[in-house]
Parts: sequence; C-alpha cells; structure tokens
Amino acid sequence: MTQNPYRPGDFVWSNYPQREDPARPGPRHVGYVAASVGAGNAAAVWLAYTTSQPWTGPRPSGVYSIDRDRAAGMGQPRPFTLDLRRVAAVPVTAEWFPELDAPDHGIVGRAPERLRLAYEAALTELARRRPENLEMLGPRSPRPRR
Amino acid sequence: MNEIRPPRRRRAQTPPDRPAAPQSELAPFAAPLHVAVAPGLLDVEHTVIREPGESDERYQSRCDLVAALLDYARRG
Repeated sequence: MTQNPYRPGDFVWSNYPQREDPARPGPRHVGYVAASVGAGNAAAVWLAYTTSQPWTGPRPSGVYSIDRDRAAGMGQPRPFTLDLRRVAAVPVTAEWFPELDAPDHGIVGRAPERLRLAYEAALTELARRRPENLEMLGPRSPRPRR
Repeated sequence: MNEIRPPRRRRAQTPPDRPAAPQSELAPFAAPLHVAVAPGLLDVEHTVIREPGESDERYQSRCDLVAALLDYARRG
C-alpha cells in the first residue's frame, strides 16, 4: 500500500476548495497539513488555509501571522497568514494534490516542531470548544459552515 | 511501523428517506468526489500512522486532533 506522503506540519501545493464550491478542487494553493490519516486509498488530510494577505486588526484564536523570517524557515518566500479556522478534509489524490506524483509530492516547507504542536493544540481546541468558529470544506465534510 | 487506531467511530445511520448505499459507496473515497455530502468521512475507520520515534504523548495528541475533527464533522 502506498504511504501517505503528507505529515502534519507540511506546507503543500493543493487544489484548495473554495467556499463557493467546497466539495470540488479549487485553484492551486499552498495548504498546511494539520492532520493526516491512513495510507493508500484511505489516505486523507485536513488542510488548513493559508494566505499571503496580511491579517489586520485583532487576531482571532486560530489565526497566526507568520513574519518574513519565520516564513522563510518554513520554505515560504513571503510572510503569510495561517488560518486554522478554515480546514478542508480531502483525500490524498492527484485531483487534490497536483504534485502528488512529483518527487517531493509538492511539499514546499515544514513548520518547526514547536509550532506544529501549538497549531495542533489550537485546532483541537477549536474543534472541541469553539466549533462555531471552525469551518470545514472538502468532499468529506458533511456540510461546510456559513 | 506501529499503528494505533483512534476511538472507533460508529457508522452513521442511513436516513429513512434515502436508499441504502451500495457497499462500494461505503469504502474509503469510493463516493464521487464532486458530491457535496459524502459519507466517507464518518463511515470509515481512520488510522493515524505512527511516525518512527514518535512518543506516546505526541502520537496520542495527533489522534486526539483527528478524533476532534471527526466529532466536529459528525455534529455537522
């Protein structure tokens, strides 16, 4: 059985679903692998949303602004915002990961372990205690919020 | 590679107004990817792969996150 190449903490090229059409692959976009399960045909990941748009104003729980230096350490050329409040549950297929078959599987960087653990704890907290703030997209979601 | 499964998920019941799904639909990702409501997320048992050298505590933390996300999805 083929292994799932995506590990929590990876930043990866994906066809991240858009809110307007949450069950279909969207435009090419770097997502953050928040959770990963299975292997082969059962492989799936929960991808958190990233954007190069800077966050303005107070940051809600689950939103992280990554400055240029820290972004560079994660393989990102620009500062970016990580939004754990928006996640997409998607299967590990080439339809969702356009570079799945490439040697690096489209993985462009990785969060340091300390941050990965912080993001993991934050997303667990959101899902358990603040579900109203969480939005789940993708074909494996029962229905997206909002 | 060691594998520990997170808490087993109970398969969602088929709504009364919906015919029973064919067996293939219940297999992981067998459902078409373009449908907005896919049963796969809640109907299959997910396995969190343990990474080499990963401590029990960290592995359990990852399992907890997957369980939390599945619980969230089940609540809809």
